[in-house]
Amino acid sequence: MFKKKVSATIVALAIAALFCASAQAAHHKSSNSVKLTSSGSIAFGPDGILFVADQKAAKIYALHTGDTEVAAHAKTYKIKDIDAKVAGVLGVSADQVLINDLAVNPISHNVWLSVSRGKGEGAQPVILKVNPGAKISALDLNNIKHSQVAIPNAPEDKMSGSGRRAQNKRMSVVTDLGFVNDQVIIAGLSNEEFASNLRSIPFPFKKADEGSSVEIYHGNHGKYETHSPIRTFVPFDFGGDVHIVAAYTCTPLVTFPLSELKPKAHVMGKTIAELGNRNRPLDMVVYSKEGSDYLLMANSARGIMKVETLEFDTLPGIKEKVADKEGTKYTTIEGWQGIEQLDLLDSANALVLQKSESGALILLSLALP
Amino acid sequence: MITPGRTFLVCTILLSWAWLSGNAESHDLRAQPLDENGEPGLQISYKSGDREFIEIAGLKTDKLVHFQNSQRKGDLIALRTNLPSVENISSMFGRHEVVNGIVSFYPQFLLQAGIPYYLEIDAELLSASTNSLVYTFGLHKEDQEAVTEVAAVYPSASVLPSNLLKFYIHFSNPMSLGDVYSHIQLLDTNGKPLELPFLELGEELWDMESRRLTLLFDPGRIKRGLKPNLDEGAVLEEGKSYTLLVHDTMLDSKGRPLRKSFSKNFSVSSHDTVSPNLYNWKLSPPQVETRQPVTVIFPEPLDEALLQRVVSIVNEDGQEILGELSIESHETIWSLTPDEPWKSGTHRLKAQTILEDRAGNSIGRPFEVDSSRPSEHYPETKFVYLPFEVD
Repeated sequence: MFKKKVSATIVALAIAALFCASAQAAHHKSSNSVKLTSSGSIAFGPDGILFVADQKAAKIYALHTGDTEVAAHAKTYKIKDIDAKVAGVLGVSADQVLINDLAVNPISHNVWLSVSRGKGEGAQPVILKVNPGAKISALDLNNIKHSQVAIPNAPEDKMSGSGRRAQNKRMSVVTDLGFVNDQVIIAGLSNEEFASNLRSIPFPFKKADEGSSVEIYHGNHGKYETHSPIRTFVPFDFGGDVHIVAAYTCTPLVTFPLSELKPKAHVMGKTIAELGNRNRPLDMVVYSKEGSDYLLMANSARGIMKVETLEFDTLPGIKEKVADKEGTKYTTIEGWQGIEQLDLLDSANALVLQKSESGALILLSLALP
Repeated sequence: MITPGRTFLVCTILLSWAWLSGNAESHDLRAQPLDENGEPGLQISYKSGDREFIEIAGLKTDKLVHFQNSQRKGDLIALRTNLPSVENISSMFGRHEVVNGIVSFYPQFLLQAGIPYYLEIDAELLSASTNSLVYTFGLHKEDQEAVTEVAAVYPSASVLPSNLLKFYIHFSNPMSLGDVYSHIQLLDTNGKPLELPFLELGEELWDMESRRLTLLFDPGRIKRGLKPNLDEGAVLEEGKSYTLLVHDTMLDSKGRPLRKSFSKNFSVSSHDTVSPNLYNWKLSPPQVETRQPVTVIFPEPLDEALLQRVVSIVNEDGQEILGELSIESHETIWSLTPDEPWKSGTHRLKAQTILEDRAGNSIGRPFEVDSSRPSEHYPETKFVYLPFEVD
């Protein structure tokens, strides 16, 4: 038997409503300190602005990194034992470092890492910059120009304010974060209900503008329709018509137009590939090479997948039972094993966080295939 | 730099390091030179109190002038977690200060107990030595008794549907994050671990206090007709038995393993594709002016976490009735004992339509909507209500 006190009063609800309203307001501060409670997914926006998902605080921060010097020449990375090096500057053993995400600044081509120093009590979020010479520096969160926005929850998901309902264990995990067309796109997954949503928040953040939240579904072969949380996504421009290419937690690769992200929309992704079993999509990028566009997907089961995008907008979508490799065409690049994180370094190179068989992590630039 | 000939000495110091640092209570530890003698007159101490710092005393004044003017302070006096020659590890983040002839290094982060630290002083700052010198110290890590255990697992029943969507694992203390899936297995009847039964997310689905882990079954294998489901079938097969095993290797937030491994044995019943329907719930109204509980019996177990959060009782004015909530009989009975005696009038049980059963079928929609059966109707509202009279 499990017992718990439940309580709420009008006063408490009013306080909760007030809290929610203020929490949802965006705060603009020219400069002030930022106190991250966690650092998860990160993505670069314009002008060296780094978006950071602080899921414990249910906030997205836009941090002005000041990393705006245009890369004068191509950079290459080959930093072995990056986890040990990060552990070194943070003064802990390597087993106490979690590299949660990486992002390349498209202006400077510097690599930024979202890191947890520690895994348990006293764990601290840190944002690090790494240059090709393996020099690691921490983003100083004291006196940093920034803005922030709450990732809104429905008010009834908030604590009542009385303290007696403080057992609310619901959290929304940010599984990926992206920036496109002046919008921050946030894919989330709840630790309770399976309903999934994709949120779009205009940037610069506007006061009390919580953006739109859409429910994402998967139409399975025209018969079954299910909620489908997004594990990772990447914006893709079909000649001016921006789409989201997303990998669902149930593995299909889907597309839908960005324009469908409107309040209360019911968005059904068009399945363009099924990835098969034991295949967890981890990260994606899109790039152009020799006049064609491609999608690269890091996944847990095989070498990285290079997907042709030519037919993304013309394919009818997979509606019938598929054999392996039906849908859009892809090749597997076996040489790229153990890729855990992936971003574009420049127009010709990818930047990856690769885990070797021994478990060591290397930060590496690789020519786009 | 460290020479190969020093290896024995390093080993000796590492072996005796716990003893050296046994003086932790004084918050003042003398670091020991890896060279036998170190620099004469140089004293390096770890100090803690209001702030934690490393104090370097005994550098000659002319050397300090050089240090104060240097742009490379972090190279000249570097605190590391590895021997400088072993790994190309940068100095730990921190700030150097020089006051009254004493250099203090303030690390940006608290030092970790149980690992060695090495302070390297560049030869440029030394008078007697022509090589850099390394001093070492460590903070004593107390042996900690394993006390944390799995406190509960939901669903709590021993028969679960073949399309079970998730487990909630509650721990008695906050846990460490980062590699939970390596400590949890699902075993078949023969004790053989199933391969990747759960959705492994790098972010991990914890609650705010890191005391409850949500373990989602791989949705690609639950959803019918998807390739993983076609190739491998659902994770759980009707009629078979399984064991959920949480190994004692899992660490709590203080780095302690669990007191013991935990296992939950269960057998599997048929696919559950039916949404919870409010009109099949049996509500027993309480009597007016008593503090009797209002009790609701469900025909099937519902999601424990959502029952805690999204079901309530409201009065005629829509105010929530405060009281003690209880979930019993394997999540088939929900009851609320009010803090104050019931007042007469119409009350309503209020439930969010996101309330799910164990297979992810919510009041609002089944886990999988069968579009070949368009006549089925599910509420499109956010809440549903079940009225009852208190008299």
